[in-house]
Amino acid sequence: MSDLIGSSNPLSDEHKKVLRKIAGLLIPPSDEHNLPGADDDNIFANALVLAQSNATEITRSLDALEARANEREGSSFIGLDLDAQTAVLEDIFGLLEPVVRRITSAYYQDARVLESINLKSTPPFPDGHEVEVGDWSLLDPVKARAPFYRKV
Amino acid sequence: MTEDHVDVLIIGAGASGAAIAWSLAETKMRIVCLEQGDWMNPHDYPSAHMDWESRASGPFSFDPNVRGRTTDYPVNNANSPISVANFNGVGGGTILYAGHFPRFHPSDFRVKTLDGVAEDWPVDYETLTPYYDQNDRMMGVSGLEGDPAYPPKPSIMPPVPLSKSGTMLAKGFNKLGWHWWPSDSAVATQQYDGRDQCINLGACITGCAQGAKASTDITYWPHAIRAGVELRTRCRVREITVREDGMAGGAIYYDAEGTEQQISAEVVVVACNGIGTPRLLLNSKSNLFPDGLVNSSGLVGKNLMFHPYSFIYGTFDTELDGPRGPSNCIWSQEFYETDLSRGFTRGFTYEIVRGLGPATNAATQMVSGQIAWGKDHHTSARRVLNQTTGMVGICEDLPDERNRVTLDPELKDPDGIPAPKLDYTLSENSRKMLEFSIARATEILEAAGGHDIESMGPMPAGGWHLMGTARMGTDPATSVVNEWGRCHDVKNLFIVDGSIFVTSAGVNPTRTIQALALYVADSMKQRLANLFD
Repeated sequence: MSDLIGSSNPLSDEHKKVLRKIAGLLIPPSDEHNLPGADDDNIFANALVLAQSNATEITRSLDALEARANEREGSSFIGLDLDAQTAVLEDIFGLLEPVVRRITSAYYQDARVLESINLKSTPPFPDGHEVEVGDWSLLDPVKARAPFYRKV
Repeated sequence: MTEDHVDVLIIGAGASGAAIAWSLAETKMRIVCLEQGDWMNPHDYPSAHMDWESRASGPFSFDPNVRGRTTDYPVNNANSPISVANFNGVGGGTILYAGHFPRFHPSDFRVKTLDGVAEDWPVDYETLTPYYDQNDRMMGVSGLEGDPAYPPKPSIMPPVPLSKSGTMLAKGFNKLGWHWWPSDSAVATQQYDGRDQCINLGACITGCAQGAKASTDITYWPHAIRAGVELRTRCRVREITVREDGMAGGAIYYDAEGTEQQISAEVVVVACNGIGTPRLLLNSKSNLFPDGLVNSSGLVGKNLMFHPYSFIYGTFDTELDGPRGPSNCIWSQEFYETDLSRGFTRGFTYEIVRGLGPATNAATQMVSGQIAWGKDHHTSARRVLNQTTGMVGICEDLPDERNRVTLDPELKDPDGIPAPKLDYTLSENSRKMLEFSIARATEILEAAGGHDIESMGPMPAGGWHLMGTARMGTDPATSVVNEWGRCHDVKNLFIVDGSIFVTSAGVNPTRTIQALALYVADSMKQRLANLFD
């Protein structure tokens, strides 16, 4: 995975560890849907790539999380048990928007995840999508309406 | 520095630059167009890649400050609630537009007479009609004749599909007895002029890998180039030069290597959009024009108009289109014409936006709390993803001299040219219109069966439409160009982009920008013998 991340990623190893923990808490694996969590190797690697473009905001969010964990539980976030981590996350969720956006974006661009929500696991091009024409008879009452643009 | 001479120099290869280049080509004059960006390779477009949504918010973002290509220029949006959206390359803004392609209405050209606001245009709908028709043929417009919101207009190809989202929302409109109609769309629903038909990639605003969307790199430009126009890419114009007799002399630009070049011309046409054009004119200072070129009125850069956008979407209990299908679907102009009982003057168009990509949809609704995180996430997400649809309200913006483009004293592009700085305040009229558009759209979504409705207005990133900053008119004291696009101050300098708009109307502007460019071209051709009189 580290090859995928690349050495240019401005997040520290500690930040990455916390970020991965958050990813798994936000979107855990699902046995029911046979899906990985967002802390899956490939998905998280992509999340880190996405995070590069707003690493400053993400770092700020992670620092706020760490501060809250210390203030509330007297421990680093990673050192907390699952219930306490969840509670801190709930407490500070509004400050984690940049983190949530990157993790969620990475998750919902993974082929396995897309297939599970009835979308193609390939790029849109070149195959495209089938789209039904729709019910044009719905337009009949509008067609019956007199022109209503202003004459000048 | 090298120097060459042409008959007509066009600056900018976007919507209007392409149209006027093609139209003027029949004169057999030597025409050169300078474009700061590149030709696009369709295989680079996000929709050819798995991570298309990420690419759409990075290298193909419509925000130049996010995109940050070397071919872009930065924009200082700090003093504006709406930031500029554009693209720099052959095709310009049409590369990343949705192709939603309405015309103005006849009333849009007579706002002073009809509603007592702003100014009337010096041209009217009837004058532009043949140019709208000509542009429709060149771009290839899909739609359906008979819309009661418009005078009769032709349709070239069948409309884009109604599909699940359109069907759902059409029921809502019908329940309320409100107007809707299949959108006129610059998306080919059949093979057209060498372009393949739409295959519902669903990523129109990130560039169309299929080539079904009418961006001018694949519509006007191939025809213009075959007719003899020379298009030079990676040529960033720093300033328009002025001869001793006060006429435009040509331009100084930087080539791909950053080397300064000069080109002289008998006629110069500026087609750089409502931000890029005033930026260039204000950067073109000289002894004769110390306040910027053609700025004797002081109006260059002033009267900046966006379309403040509202965005309203809801969730439904059935699967809809999600990211499948063209962005365009249907429109409503129920609230287009002025009705002062609504609390504002002028009006707006609803553009139905079908659905969102899963990553965008999930991220947005995770943040808003509509999709749960933790153990309930997967169940919660399945109630939302592919089940969201909605609309944007494109609100008419009225001109205000305080809304303006100036030159930033610090910010510069990669060639060191000062960047544009915006000062823009949302008017009370626009604010009321946005609120009204959100309230009515909420009713439409509810009537259609939607719930968990969310909205925003104005959309902070929605500055797609850039207008009014070098407006047209018959009085040199209150306008920058005359009624056929020629600058009052410099008679061999023409402007053809959205900056010459007098008002913004409540529709996407590209079709009117191009019709105006063709009209200006025809006006020039009819006056070739005495063009500078």
